[in-house]
Amino acid sequence: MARTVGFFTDTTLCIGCKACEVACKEWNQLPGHAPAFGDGYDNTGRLDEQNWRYVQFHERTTAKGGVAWNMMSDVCKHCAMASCMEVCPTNAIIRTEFDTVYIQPSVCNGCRDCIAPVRITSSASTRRAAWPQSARSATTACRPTCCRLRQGVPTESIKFGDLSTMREVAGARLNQLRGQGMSEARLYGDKEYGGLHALFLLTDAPEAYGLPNAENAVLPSRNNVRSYLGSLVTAAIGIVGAVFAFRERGGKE
Amino acid sequence: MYIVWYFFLGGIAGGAYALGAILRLMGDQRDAPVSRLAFLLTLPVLAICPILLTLDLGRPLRFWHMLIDSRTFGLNFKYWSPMSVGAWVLIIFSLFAFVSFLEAWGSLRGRGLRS
Repeated sequence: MARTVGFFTDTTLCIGCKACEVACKEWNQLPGHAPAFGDGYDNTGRLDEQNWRYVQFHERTTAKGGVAWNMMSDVCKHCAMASCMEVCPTNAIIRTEFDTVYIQPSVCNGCRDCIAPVRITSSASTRRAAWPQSARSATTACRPTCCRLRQGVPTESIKFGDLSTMREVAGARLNQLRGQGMSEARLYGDKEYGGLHALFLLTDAPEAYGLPNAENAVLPSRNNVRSYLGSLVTAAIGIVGAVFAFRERGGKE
Repeated sequence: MYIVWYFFLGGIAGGAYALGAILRLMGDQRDAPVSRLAFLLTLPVLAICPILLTLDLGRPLRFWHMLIDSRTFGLNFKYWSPMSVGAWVLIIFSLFAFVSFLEAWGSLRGRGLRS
């Protein structure tokens, strides 16, 4: 393990300009989809094989009854315990020497099993898996372009570096905001899925950003015992039912 | 949306084989024709399933990556991943279905020669 890198996305500095989305597409040579508006100002839609950064516009009602945005530039979280990596039946999803999660385009066969179990809504790495021809590493040796000043984020809302440094920067920023009276400010990504490698500074509950809380952010294998037992019990009931139904026939001839 | 046919046909194959096996193991002579029909039905219906599943992949020709690791060429099985388990179950079920089909086919021909 050479070093552990990570993102720190400070949503309090995000102005929703989407420059990070554009810079990411330029650097990674992603043509992108045609923009399409849904029921708000967002025209990206979701993280997928074309959108490795996705600026979300979460509307909230302010204390005065107005509407405000909680903006959040979403990205693959490179979880320490990654759901997509756990379920991948081809072992196409690996952990790199930078402790990031990477889908090997030459191994992935596009079964899309990694998309379903990820509770962090539409993680970029998982959507990328569906289309191996466009899969590339978002965070490897280079400094991702989405966090470069001028090209990426004019407000320096996204930072990239060693994960330990990112934790320090995030902690300092959290203390600063709390000191200024923002009691709702919180850091997201310390406990979820064994610790995310993309930290987020939020000003509301994770659910308000479409993120799972620490209680829900656990691996999909949490369902395995229950599901496999359910199958076994069903099979047992079937066998018992068959024995009961044929009890008077007395075996073959 | 052809992939829904996989669930339909896979359900028929699984249900037919389960009923056929129950009748075969616990029934008597009266149940033999139904059991034979079930085994004869299972294999052709089941044979369509992997074709549909393979076509649904982003890269169909790499379907074998599910079973064999494409880097180490060792067997690829993750009991904690239902997708991996499902791929193996399909292979193993197919072997059983094939043997049962041969037996049912043979008994059908044998009966035809006798009567």
